[in-house]
Amino acid sequence: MQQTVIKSDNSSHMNFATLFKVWFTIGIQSFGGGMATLSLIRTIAVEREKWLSDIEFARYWSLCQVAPGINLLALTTLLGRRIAGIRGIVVCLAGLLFPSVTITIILTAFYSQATRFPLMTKAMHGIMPATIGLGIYTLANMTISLLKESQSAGKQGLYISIGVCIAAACAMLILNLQVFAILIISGLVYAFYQWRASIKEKETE
Amino acid sequence: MSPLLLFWIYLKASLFSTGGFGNLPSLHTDLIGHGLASENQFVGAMAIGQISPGPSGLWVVCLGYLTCGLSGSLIALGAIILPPLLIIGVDRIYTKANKHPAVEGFAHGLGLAVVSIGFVILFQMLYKEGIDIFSVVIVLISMALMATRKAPILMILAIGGIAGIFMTH
Repeated sequence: MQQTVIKSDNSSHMNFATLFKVWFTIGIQSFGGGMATLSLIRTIAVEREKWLSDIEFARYWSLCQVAPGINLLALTTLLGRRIAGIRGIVVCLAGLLFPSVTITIILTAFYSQATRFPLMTKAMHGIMPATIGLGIYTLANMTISLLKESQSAGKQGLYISIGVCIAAACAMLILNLQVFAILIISGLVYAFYQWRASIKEKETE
Repeated sequence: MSPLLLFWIYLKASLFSTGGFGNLPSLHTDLIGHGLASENQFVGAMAIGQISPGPSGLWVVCLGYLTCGLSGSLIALGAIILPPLLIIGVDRIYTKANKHPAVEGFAHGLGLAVVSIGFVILFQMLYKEGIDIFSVVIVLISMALMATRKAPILMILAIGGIAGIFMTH
């Protein structure tokens, strides 16, 4: 592989071979579904390699929700592009998918041959809550960074943000609204608030 | 069944969905409707997709394998890689437009909803799993280990799995 050095804002210099290895390790470790993989990517991208900040990560993740296809692949694409443009996208996607797809195909091949293992069901009883714990930690970090950003615009921004969070949760739990609808409405509500706030700010200047 | 048509069925489903299982209704209608897959294959693929590494969206690759062998899985893989690349376009639009307070506000509101819905889904999962002392303790241990920033995620999942094997009857 080329020995091109990739420079990112805050992280150590890394060549494409190392970048592939990093994503390969993510791909090989990402058992337990989407939340575990998201936690893994966040830990490496934000905490270890410092490719981007928590708030930027949260921003990327929310954009992925409204883009077509698998969110985690969209996230990988954005991160790859940020790190090293188009080549970054190819290397990161390849690193993530090569081990995970290979293992997935092997597991599927075994599944179609063998009977289900009761041990797996028992293990899942423990893996599920472990995944939930990972998810809570990851989401909590993203929530804190989002709320901190709202607070930088003033207490009102913070209260509106908390309100949007509670409303979105209630809409999902009680009203059973479609996820996509809740996302768009929340976006529009805060867009309206931010737009009004900026007008008021201009008027007082 | 021509590979090109199969590719289109998978691509169409993923293009108009967002997230890992968003393509399920479309695939279900197309594949089962045309006798290309069975319900059992769907259920099996989804289960394997959950536990195998990578995004749970890879369940489609499992389905491809169960219905059409290795070539089926590769066709499915090709089809699910393409739609997420469109995020580049979405991000470009956002980057150009985000100086406007309304656009920035929209993205922020979106983020707030994403994390809130995420929490709701997690608690629903816990509720379905059963809120007992065992699961609550595992959740808390998992969170604590994450907070140390030193425990590998695979280790946390393995601890959960081993605990599940020994504690479940």
